[in-house]
Order: sequence, then C-alpha cells, then structure tokens
Amino acid sequence: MLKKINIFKWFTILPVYLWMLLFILIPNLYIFAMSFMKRGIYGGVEWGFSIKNYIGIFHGMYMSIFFQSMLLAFETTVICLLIAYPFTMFIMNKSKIFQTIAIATVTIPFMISSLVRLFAWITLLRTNGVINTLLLHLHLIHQPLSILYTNGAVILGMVYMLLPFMILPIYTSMEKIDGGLIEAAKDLGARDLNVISNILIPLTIPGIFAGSILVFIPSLGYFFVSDMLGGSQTILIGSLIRDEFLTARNWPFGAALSIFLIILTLVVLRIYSKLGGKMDDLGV
Amino acid sequence: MNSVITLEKVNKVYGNHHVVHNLSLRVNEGEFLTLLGPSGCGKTTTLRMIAGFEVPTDGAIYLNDQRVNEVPPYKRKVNTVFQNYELFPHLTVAANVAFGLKMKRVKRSEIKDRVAKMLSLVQLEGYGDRKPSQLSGGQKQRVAIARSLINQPKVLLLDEPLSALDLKLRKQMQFELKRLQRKLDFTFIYVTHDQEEAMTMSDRVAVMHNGNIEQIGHPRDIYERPQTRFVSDFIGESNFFSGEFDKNVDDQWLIRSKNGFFTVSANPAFETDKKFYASVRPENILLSEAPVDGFSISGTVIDNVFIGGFTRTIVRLEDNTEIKKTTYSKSGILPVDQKVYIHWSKEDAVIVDTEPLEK
Repeated sequence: MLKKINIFKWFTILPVYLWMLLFILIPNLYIFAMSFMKRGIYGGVEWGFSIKNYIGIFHGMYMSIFFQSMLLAFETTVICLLIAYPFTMFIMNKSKIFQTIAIATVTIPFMISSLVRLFAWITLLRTNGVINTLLLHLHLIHQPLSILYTNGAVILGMVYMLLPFMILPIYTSMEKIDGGLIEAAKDLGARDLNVISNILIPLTIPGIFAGSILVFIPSLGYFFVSDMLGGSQTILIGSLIRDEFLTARNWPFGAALSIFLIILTLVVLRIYSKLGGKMDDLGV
Repeated sequence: MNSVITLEKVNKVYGNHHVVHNLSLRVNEGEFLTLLGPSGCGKTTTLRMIAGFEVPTDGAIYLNDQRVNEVPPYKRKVNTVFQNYELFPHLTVAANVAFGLKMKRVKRSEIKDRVAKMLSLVQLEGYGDRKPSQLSGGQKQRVAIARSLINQPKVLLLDEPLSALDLKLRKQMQFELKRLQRKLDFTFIYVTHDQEEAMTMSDRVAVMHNGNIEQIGHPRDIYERPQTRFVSDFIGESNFFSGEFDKNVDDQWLIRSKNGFFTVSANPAFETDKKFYASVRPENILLSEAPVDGFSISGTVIDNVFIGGFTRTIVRLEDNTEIKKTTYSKSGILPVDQKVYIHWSKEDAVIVDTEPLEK
C-alpha cells in the first residue's frame, strides 16, 4: 500500500521536475556557460573560456545603465508602496465583501496580456491621445503635452504593472492583525496617526518587505515597459540584455549581463532575508 | 459616596437587535462591580460603551458627571483589560506597559521609573525586555493589567480577563486582582459569565439578562434574596415551587401547590391573589420521614450522588418534578426509595415571581 502511494506520488511530481529541469535549470546553465565564451562572427557563440564579458560589464556606460535601472526600480517601488498602503488601509475598514471585490478588481486585469494593456496606455498618453485631446478641448492647455516616451511614462507603466504585487502581500499581512490590538492602542490613548505609526506599520513590515521585493526585482527586468512607453529615452538592464542578444548579436555578453542581473537579484534577496524577511512571504 | 460612572437609560440597538435595553447603573468610587450574565446578555456591549468603543443609541453615560457618550476611547480616562490580553506582539513587555505614557508624551525618564514601579507591582520585575510571546498566560494577563493601570484611569474595565487561563491559575489571579484593587483603591468594572468569579471578587454584582440589569447588590444578597426567577436560577442552584395563596397563618403564607402545601414568610410587597413562584436553595431543603407543620409535599428519594465535599440527594415528587438537596455532613443521608416529606425554614423560601391566577 505504502509503495503504491510512493509510485503515485512520483508519477504526479515527476512532470514538474522534468519541466523545471528542461525549461529552467538547463537554460540557466546554458546561459551561465555561454557567458564565458566568445561571440561568433555572424552571431552565435564560439567555444573557449574567457572572463572578458564580465570585465566588459564594468565599463562606465553599462554601469550607468545599471544605476539608472536600479533608480527606476527604486522609484517604482516607493510609488507602489505609497499607493498600496493607504489603499489597503482603506479597504481594510470595509466589509469582507467589499474587500474581496476590491482585491479582485486589482488582480483581474492581470489575466489580460500585459502588451495589450500597455497599448491601452499608449492610446491614452500619446500626443493626439485621449488625455491630450481632453485637456485641449477643455482649454487647459494650448499645445499637446509630451507624456509618452518620458521617464515618467515608464514609471507610470511599471507602477501600473507591478502594483498588485505590492497590494497583495500588504493586504495579507494587514488581514492578520487582530482588530483588538488597534482597540487596545486607542484605549491607551493612541490617535489614528499613532495607531498607524506604532501598531499598523510595525506589524505589516513583512508585507511591506515582501511587496517591495516583488516590485523591485521585476522592474529591473521589465524591458518591454520602457520599450513601449519610454521609446529610446530609457535604456534599462532588461532592454540592454535584449539588445545584446537580438540587435548586437553578442550572445556571450548578453549572457554575462543576465548572470550579473541574477547575482544582483540574489544580493537583494539576501539583504531581504538578512533583515528578517521570509521567503514564504514572496511565494518562493 | 461619589459615583464615577453613571449610566442613564442606556440603549444599544444593532439593526433590529436590541442588545442593551434601558440600562441604568451607578458605579461608586473605589468599588469592585461585576456585570454578570450569560453570553448575549449585553454585558460586554455595556462595557464597550463605557470604554468608548461603542456609542449608545439612546441614553447617557457620565464619567464624573461629565457626559461622555461620543468621547473617543483615546480621550477617556478609562482603560480596558481585554479578554485576549491584546498585548502588542512587536513590543517588549516594558514598551507595552509604557505605551499609554508614550502616547501622552510623558518624559522618558519618568516613563522608565513608572514602568519599573508598575512591573514590580504586578510581580514581573526582570521581565521588561521579554516579548509577549515569551510569557505564560498568567504573565501576559499581568502585563495587560499593568499596561492599563499605569495610566491611572478613573475606572478600570475588565472584559472576562481570566477566561483564557486554566482553573488553578484563574483562582490565584482572582485573588491577586482583588488584592490589587483593594491596595490601589481603584474602581473596577468587571465582566464575566462565571458566577463564582463574580461572587469571590465583587463588592456588588449586577446580574444581567436580555440587555438589562435584573438585580444588583452584594453577592450574598443576590444569592440569598434573588428577586427574579432568572437570578435564582442563574446564580447557584434552585428548586422552584409554585402554587396559589391559601391562607395567612401567624404572618406566614400557606401556599397550595399541585404536590401539596408549603409555607413561605408573608411578604407585604405582593398581592395575595396571585400564583406564586418560590425558590429554595438545595442546601436549605430539609427532608423528614413524617410531615412537618405547614408542609405536605412528599416524594421518594431516587438517588444519592457523592460530590466530594457534599452529597446531592434527588427526590422525585408525585408529579415527577425532581428536587435537589445537598447535605454537607456524612450522617443524615436517607436511603434510596425512602418516602420523604419536604420542608424548610420559612425564611429560606424566596418569592421570585408571580403570575395572575387563571380564572
């Protein structure tokens, strides 16, 4: 009987392992190996070992792209946090049904392709788009504003794409707070602002942490957002990697950049867990 | 005596649920008052209105003659000890106790002194740096009490604070709470459904039922002179006898019941043309082999149950009602199947209810 269960267990789990092996482990190892090779004359790679690609990364131009990318990711995270926290506090005071609907409203758009949703933003933001047309008709402006293809537009897109990843962990951690604690604080003389700073924020730190990580890391790699909404204005690590592979056809250098990004991500995660963050909260 | 808290015809309605009904109450300074009642009687809602978590639908609440109906909890000089302690899990014991003073922006050095004093008062010296999760239930309870008392509230409200503790610890904490209250001369309003707890600690007990106070008084009065059927049934055990007035003999009323006659002290507060309900405590029931003057209710002993300190004898009457009698001595226990007559000292029967006679 026991043995039967074991076979069944393996039978169900095996495809998952195979999938991970084929589509995650092997490609990553391949990229890792590639990062030490040389570029072929017509693209592709040539065998051989060198760490030239890694040294190349530390060129000033690439470093400034990394820096710009990190800054943008940081800004995105802060803005997401500033929107998500008050939003969650607001829905927390409402009925359970309202909360469910609000959370569904936040998550449902993510079943639609992100490209489609970004195109929608383009129609809104472009020179003769909805927003400019409206403002012109209202005579609030005399010339169309250039909103699209700015750094601001990229941040807007990033925040839009990643906001749910901030809201959900914060919501989860706020939901766990015993309402009695808030009553106890008020009973002991705490006004609303005191309750927020002394009780609510300290107790939702895990959610704030997890949300920040879940927003920060993807915003380093979401190159399509900056491509579509930032035009050629903003080059991020993600776009740089894509360009190395597809335009410059320097696969080994692209691979080295990818590995560097992975290391960067691991460093961020390491800091996160050092500060007391739990991997469980990230859904890892 | 000055009253610290006064409730005047307070009502609380949720939707079509009338939780507290025309409740009036005066709480004297320095007294230990308990709101006692079964769950759903409105005792916790009453406490929450005094604390400021709920606003009365109607009526008025006064704190030292000042109307406080809509005053938010953080502005009331009233503190609560909650059922689940509600200690802040991210703060140390000392920081928990200091919370109220910190909110009042008391100087840091003064906070430190007062916290130390408070912790020693509740016998938790040396626990200041621990987190609440490292404490036992009884210790958490003490922290919760210290955290409230440090604000020197005019009244301390306690919402079933001991219900999460085990029996032995609960008894010990009852004792300590009472001692603390006497020592500090604070006013305590205590909510519980545990009558023993209420009896042990309180100066006065208010028995609540259906959103109102059925009877308020000294624990002994409540037990010995219950004024309603609910009170005599809820507090301790009771035997009920009912019947119609027959005649007055030497200031005693002879009552005719289905099972025979019984006698109660005459009570001028009642008209005699009523059906009377009398309550007699099991320890006041007397059994004899021959009828006693003024009594003619008879029955059969059907069981003797030994319960540690006493024995409970069950007597079945002719109409199959069962009467409980407790005996504290080893002797005088009548055997099963013995035919017995029931009586009591006249003053031990209390009229708790009347009904108009059926015509």
